[in-house]
Amino acid sequence: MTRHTEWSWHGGALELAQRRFPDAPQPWIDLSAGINPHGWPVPHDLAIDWQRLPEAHQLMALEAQAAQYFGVDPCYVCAVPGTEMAMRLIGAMIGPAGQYGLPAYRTHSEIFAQATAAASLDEADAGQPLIFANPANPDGRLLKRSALLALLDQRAMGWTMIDEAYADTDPKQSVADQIDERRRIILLRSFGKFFGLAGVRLGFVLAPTALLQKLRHAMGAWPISSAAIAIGRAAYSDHRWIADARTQMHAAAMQLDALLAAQGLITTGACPLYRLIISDKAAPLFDQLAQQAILTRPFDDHPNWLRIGLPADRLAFDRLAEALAGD
Amino acid sequence: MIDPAPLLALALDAAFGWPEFLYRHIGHPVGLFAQFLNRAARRGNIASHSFARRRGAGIIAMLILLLLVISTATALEHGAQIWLGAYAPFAIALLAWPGLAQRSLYTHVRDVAQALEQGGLAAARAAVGKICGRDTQALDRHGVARAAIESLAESLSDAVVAPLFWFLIGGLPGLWAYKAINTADSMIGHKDAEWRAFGWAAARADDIANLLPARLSGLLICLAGMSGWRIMWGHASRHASPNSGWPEAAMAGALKLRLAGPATYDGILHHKRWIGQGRSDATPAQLRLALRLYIRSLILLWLLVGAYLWAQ
Repeated sequence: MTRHTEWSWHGGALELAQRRFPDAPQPWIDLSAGINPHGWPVPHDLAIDWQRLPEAHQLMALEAQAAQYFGVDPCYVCAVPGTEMAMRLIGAMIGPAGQYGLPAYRTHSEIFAQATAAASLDEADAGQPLIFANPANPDGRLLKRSALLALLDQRAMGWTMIDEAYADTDPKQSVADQIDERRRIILLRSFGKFFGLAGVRLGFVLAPTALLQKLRHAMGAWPISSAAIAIGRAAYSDHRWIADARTQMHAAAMQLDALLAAQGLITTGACPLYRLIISDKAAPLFDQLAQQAILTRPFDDHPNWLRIGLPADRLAFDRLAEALAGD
Repeated sequence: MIDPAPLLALALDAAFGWPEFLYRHIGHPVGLFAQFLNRAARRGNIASHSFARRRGAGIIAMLILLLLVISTATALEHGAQIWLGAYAPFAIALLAWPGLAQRSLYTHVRDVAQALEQGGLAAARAAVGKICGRDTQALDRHGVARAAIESLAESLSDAVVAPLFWFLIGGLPGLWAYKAINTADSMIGHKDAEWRAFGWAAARADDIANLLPARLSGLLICLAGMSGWRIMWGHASRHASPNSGWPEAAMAGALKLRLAGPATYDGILHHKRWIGQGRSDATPAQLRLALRLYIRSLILLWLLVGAYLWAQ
């Protein structure tokens, strides 16, 4: 069996896969990342001032635009160069001890100096910080809003950090409206996944202003590039594209479910951007797909898991179907 | 015939409060309780004594205070009935009047609302400092509004409903015995090492005396707002006090606010559970709404008292 360690870190190890499977038919299809394959189309004439440092008011305008999209007061929103960096900074602020929900996105287990895994969110220590993703990654398990509110209510003392990186497809499940100066709730929102522009490196932290103040201080001046500001402002105001993308992703996810089910593969999860297969066939399946130049996402600690992102188009769906069928 | 004394006392308090000139000339009976308790504490709350001995001293102090208050009030009530005959209820109402605090509570909370609306945070902090125990200097405007709303709910219970309840049950002796217990609780019923033993009797007596009135107050608030039942029922027990949670949870539910919660006193974070759902950033408008709920609760209370007297 192939060792998967190299690409089970995060998604996106396409180059590595190309070297490891040199005989695979070109071009590769990357389904390893759980990102919208149809990125928001960045206009060619989008005005980006590369010469000057971004102005404070431009950053504020981006945060205001994003706040409107999240449905929260702009004072509780801070733009960050990707949530990856933000959660590590915040982990250091509210740590050192902290808990992470399982299954965990790898970074979640690394942000606290003294980290413990919480097998169940309800049993986590209510006095200690807790980070988890909703919907969860990689299994896509979605904690219903009502259950989430009850959990937050129980956890009045300890900080609760919820990674809503994949919440954009079902905005009603977000608890952004619960952000409040006195409550110890932090939300992480990602730009790159839903808008399919992970390279922009843009994310947002929603939290009480006292915490945001510390975060801004830790990041220093000009945390966000002019390009990210311009793209973010335009994308978050493109309501039509946002609505269409949601419909499209849910439809494509259903198509993916059907395709996998036809091969006897049952998927879990409520997030349309990826599906998790839990099966003994998962490990050989990774190799089988890679030999056909389709990269998926295996997990070291769970060899029976395989996460599959949304194929972009008809062609990609057909190649996935072929690769799954042919052995 | 209906005994008019309770409604008369309510009306006197609603119309005049306890006027400044009366306070200056004859003080307030609560001042006498405070004097007694200060002397008793000097004698009985001695740091070198054991916990049990100080608790015993506190029990004896409370028994003496209640004996004095009840005998005096009984004498006055009987004296009025003997000497004044049909006019006795008027005298009894006059003697019950300073035991109620409908108007002063309203005025104090309205002052906080006015200060907030006029943007004077310092004035608002000073105003709310008169009705709540916490350190108000660190509060922002939302914190001030929350503190005022919490105090309003709690005080509706222990400064209006409870004294009236004991007045209806036990006449003047009932009312003034309650006021003595409540004063003792706020003076010596603290949980810190200095007072826990000596104040034990006062704190327990106050818990018992407020048991029914607090639940009744919660009920009045929910009725007045026609909402908040679910929060009152589900969240009342989240309060550290067995009683205060009822009116506070009812108020939180009726206003759709989140009260209590983690709080910092003297730089130390204290674990308090949230009472209510929704947002914690109370606004001056919500404080005004709380005052309207308070007035409506009082109207319901008057009707309830009238019905109770009529049924007797």
